[in-house]
Amino acid sequence: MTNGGVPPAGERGPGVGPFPRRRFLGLAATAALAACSGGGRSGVPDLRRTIGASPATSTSTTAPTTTIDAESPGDAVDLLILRTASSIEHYAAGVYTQLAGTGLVTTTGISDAMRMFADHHSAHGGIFDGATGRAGGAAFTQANLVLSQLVETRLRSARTEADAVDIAYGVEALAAATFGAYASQLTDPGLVPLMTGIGATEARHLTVLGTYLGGLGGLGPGARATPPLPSTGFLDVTTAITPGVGL
Amino acid sequence: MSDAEVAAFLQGVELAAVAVYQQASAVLGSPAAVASAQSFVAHHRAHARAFGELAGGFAVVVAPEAALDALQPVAPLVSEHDGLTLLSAVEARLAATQHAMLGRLTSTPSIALVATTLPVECQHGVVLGTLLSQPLAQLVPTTQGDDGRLTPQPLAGS
Repeated sequence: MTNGGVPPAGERGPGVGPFPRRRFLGLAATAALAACSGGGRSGVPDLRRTIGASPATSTSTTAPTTTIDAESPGDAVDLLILRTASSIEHYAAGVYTQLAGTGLVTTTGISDAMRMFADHHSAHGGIFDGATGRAGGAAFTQANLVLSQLVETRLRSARTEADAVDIAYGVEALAAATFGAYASQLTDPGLVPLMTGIGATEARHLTVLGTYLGGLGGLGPGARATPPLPSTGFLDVTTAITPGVGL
Repeated sequence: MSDAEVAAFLQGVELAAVAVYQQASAVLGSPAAVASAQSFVAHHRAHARAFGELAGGFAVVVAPEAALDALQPVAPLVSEHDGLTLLSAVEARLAATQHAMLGRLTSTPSIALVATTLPVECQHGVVLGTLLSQPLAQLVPTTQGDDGRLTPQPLAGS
């Protein structure tokens, strides 16, 4: 399975890939605290990395301080996951826009599908942004920085319609995997169906694109690289990115 | 309901889906439909086993009558189109049911399992809908909802 330019799980750095809940919660809390510690350049607090925190009023130009709101570790985890989800959706919408700009996708059915999927990702981004705000955080309204960098090379080297669809397939695989892998880490029960319901739509996208790439054949084990659905019957979450990566 | 009881309910619905697939297989003839149905029924069996493990002492051995009744066709199956239409509806109801039950689950293993089965039920729906030449907007809604879900007590459509 391709995954939009992100190396397979086994080749990734330590920040990518699903891992046990306890370790994740510890790292997420650390990431949330790090994000709340300022980190902005030129003395300006980087609010994009301020998860559930409010920058304190300060006249300093070199060492902005940040106060952490009364927020439980669970809230911080939820915000980290939601903001990562937003970043993936904005990234996905952007990739589809870039793919449309290549002029490679000329088959009417697939261009219509990709336009619809781009709209879905924009809508999903808005949903996650809204959920982040309701949870007390600042929405992450940009494309995921790491994923955007990784996909650039593939976008530049795409030469055929199949190349373009393969890139989209990778984007959808990563999105579906990440939402499937981390829905169970959310502490607000109301967010679980929301994230899983959106992940299910990404999985539907994946099937449409996989069918285009290879038809409905190849449903058996190990049949091809871009299957329309997993032969095991269970969503493959190995292409998930770790919450916090690319924010 | 405990997570184990929810898992048992979902196991029963999966087993009922297996039974409906076996029923529909009698009218499927095209290679794509037959291959898809064979693959998907294996998935549902795997899902039932996984939910059964989570259900522990609440696990069921056969599909509950109420689940079977809820997924039965309302008219005799006489063509492949009839069979695919039935199976497409079954997948939609399974997806809606699992999505609805997510809000009741509390344990990580239970949620994690549904988070990996629900998307695949949706993917089954896309394949079956493609075989039925359904329009794209029907194959891929903006997000998964609960319409058509089965509910545990009484086990009926909503």
